[in-house]
Amino acid sequence: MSRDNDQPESDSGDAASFVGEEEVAEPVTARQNLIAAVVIGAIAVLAMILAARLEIPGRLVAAPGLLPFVVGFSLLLMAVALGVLAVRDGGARNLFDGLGNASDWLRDVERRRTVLLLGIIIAYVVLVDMVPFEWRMPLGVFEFRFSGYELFSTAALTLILWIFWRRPVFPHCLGVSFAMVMALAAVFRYGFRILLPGLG
Amino acid sequence: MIWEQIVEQAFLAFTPYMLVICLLGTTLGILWGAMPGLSTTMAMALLIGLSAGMGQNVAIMFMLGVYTGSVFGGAISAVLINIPGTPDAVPTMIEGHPLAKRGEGGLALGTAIASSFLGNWVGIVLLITFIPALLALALKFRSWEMFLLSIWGIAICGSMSSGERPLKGWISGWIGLLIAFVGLDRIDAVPRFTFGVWILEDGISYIPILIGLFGLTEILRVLPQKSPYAIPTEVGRVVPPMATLWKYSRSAIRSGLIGTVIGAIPGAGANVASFLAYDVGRRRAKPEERKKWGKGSYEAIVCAEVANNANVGGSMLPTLTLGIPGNAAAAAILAALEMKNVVVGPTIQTHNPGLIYFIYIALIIANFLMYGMAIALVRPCVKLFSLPRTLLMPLIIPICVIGAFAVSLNYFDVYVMLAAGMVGYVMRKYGFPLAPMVLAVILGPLADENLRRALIIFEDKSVGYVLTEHWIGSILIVVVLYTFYDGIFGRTRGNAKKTV
Repeated sequence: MSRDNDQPESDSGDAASFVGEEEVAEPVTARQNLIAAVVIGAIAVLAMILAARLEIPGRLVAAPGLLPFVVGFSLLLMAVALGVLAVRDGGARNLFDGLGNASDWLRDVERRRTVLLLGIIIAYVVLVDMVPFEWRMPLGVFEFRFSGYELFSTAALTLILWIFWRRPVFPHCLGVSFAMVMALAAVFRYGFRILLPGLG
Repeated sequence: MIWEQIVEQAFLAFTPYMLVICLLGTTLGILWGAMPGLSTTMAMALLIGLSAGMGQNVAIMFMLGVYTGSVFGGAISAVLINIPGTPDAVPTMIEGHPLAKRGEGGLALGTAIASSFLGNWVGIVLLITFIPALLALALKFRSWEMFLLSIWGIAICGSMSSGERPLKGWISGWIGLLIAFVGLDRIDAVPRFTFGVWILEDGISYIPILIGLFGLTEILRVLPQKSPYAIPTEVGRVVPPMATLWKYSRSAIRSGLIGTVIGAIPGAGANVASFLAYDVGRRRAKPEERKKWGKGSYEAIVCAEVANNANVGGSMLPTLTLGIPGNAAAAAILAALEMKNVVVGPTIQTHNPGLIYFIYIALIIANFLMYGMAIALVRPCVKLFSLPRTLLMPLIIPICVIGAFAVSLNYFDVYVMLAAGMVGYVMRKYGFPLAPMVLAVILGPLADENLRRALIIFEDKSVGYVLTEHWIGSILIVVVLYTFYDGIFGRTRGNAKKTV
């Protein structure tokens, strides 16, 4: 019996089924499984080609590409099995419907918020790396330090809290972010004497 | 003579100063492990620096406190925010988080604490009692057996974390193996999958992968939701009833044995131990209890936590007697001992008489202090982690960045964490479990190196020789094949029955 290609594959409501990590996962359609099978199959083939091209300095049985090739080949078999199951469940029907239409995809509020969050996190990570600096201010025997990590972490956290926290009062978000980042930086820098990213 | 040494070392260990140092180490370990993205290995590696200025016994006491505390600490964030502090806390996450969502987070953590306490005891007692026997068994695990054990670990993890379709779990694990192959290979130093990028030649560390896959993925998954789930603030009962613990005593002893034996095998580690005990526990569970596995089972928490804590004692075995660390955290203990000019290995008792007993006593003290401190920390932790997800999740982002950066002080690891987070998010959306990938990244180099070494040894040997001389390997081949068979046909049969 084939399942509709937009029906979730797992029935988490059944008390007898073991769900593992799926308990927190999204319901998955046969169409998604087919797309995943194609991508994984491509990765497996690429891995096999790269593994086969590796030089063999010693004996063939100890070749550096041996296990990567075997893993790539078995991954390809698994991708084929996943693809066959997905096709059997009706995943091939209307496979290309809606593909390439970004505006449709972004119509979902949660997806828009995910893209926004990811954008902020990427910008934060890149800025800490690309704009490293450190200010040092002697305060008696203690030297206060403020680096790119604190600055960009505070800025990114404030922005994320302002958008996603249900209390969009900017000074609150700034205060929470600043306190959290400074406490974290103090514990690692002065407590554990661990260097922070961004020349910290 | 032996008893004199034990009493002498006990006097050294049971001083107020030593107890305070151990309490400090245990507390730091628990808090470190509880922070999402900060692992036991990282705690051990980074806190060696703090122990450098301490005396020999003080440093050992401190480091063992950190070790014991951080192994348990990983369970706190796993249960309360679905982000495991350590890879071996993944089974605890799978079982404990649904319980926390139902308002049983306190009891889930209390069960984990009691199990950790028990697990440590099993490990210590077995370590003291059966050193020669355990060591003999552990030494039978040579290259071929280590390869098969690694593959078995990944296969079990794939089956256990992927629900009805283990295929997706195995695919996740196999992709993890491909990631593990990136870098210079360990035997011939041939660059694999590096695409000419020199920074990839060092390989990809599992720590940023763990942080990205579980930390960042969870943030990307939960934060954008219109109404993210909440953890009830009521803590309720924390210490589990004795009757419950008694009910699971057989599972606990079995898991403790698994944890200690796996710990004694160099390189296998708590990750394999906790998944193996979790898998064996599910197979041996009574039908009514088995129904709860994967949705919040106290027995499952007992199995996983006893095993990964018994592993602490087990991992000390090859570390102290052979000088071969049982896992990465034990390697940090070894480094701390070497910093104090302690020659670890078969001559440890000759060069440092009594030290081995001091280490046992330190483990016992750390275990008691871990129990007390963990119970005391459960309520504040539940209160802290029951903050609204929209406030809590953003605060985890800077911790993830520090966690990824701190181990090798290399910012490339932060980019790896970011990439792993995005990959993990897509994988979750497509229903692939993440735990097998992390385990495979950890075990991949071990599997590769040992397979190639074994194949060189077996080059001119017959199949009969391999099967008879390496009988543990033969048993492992059968169980690996059975794991795949059960995953494919066992689940299929189960689904067929359900359909009928």
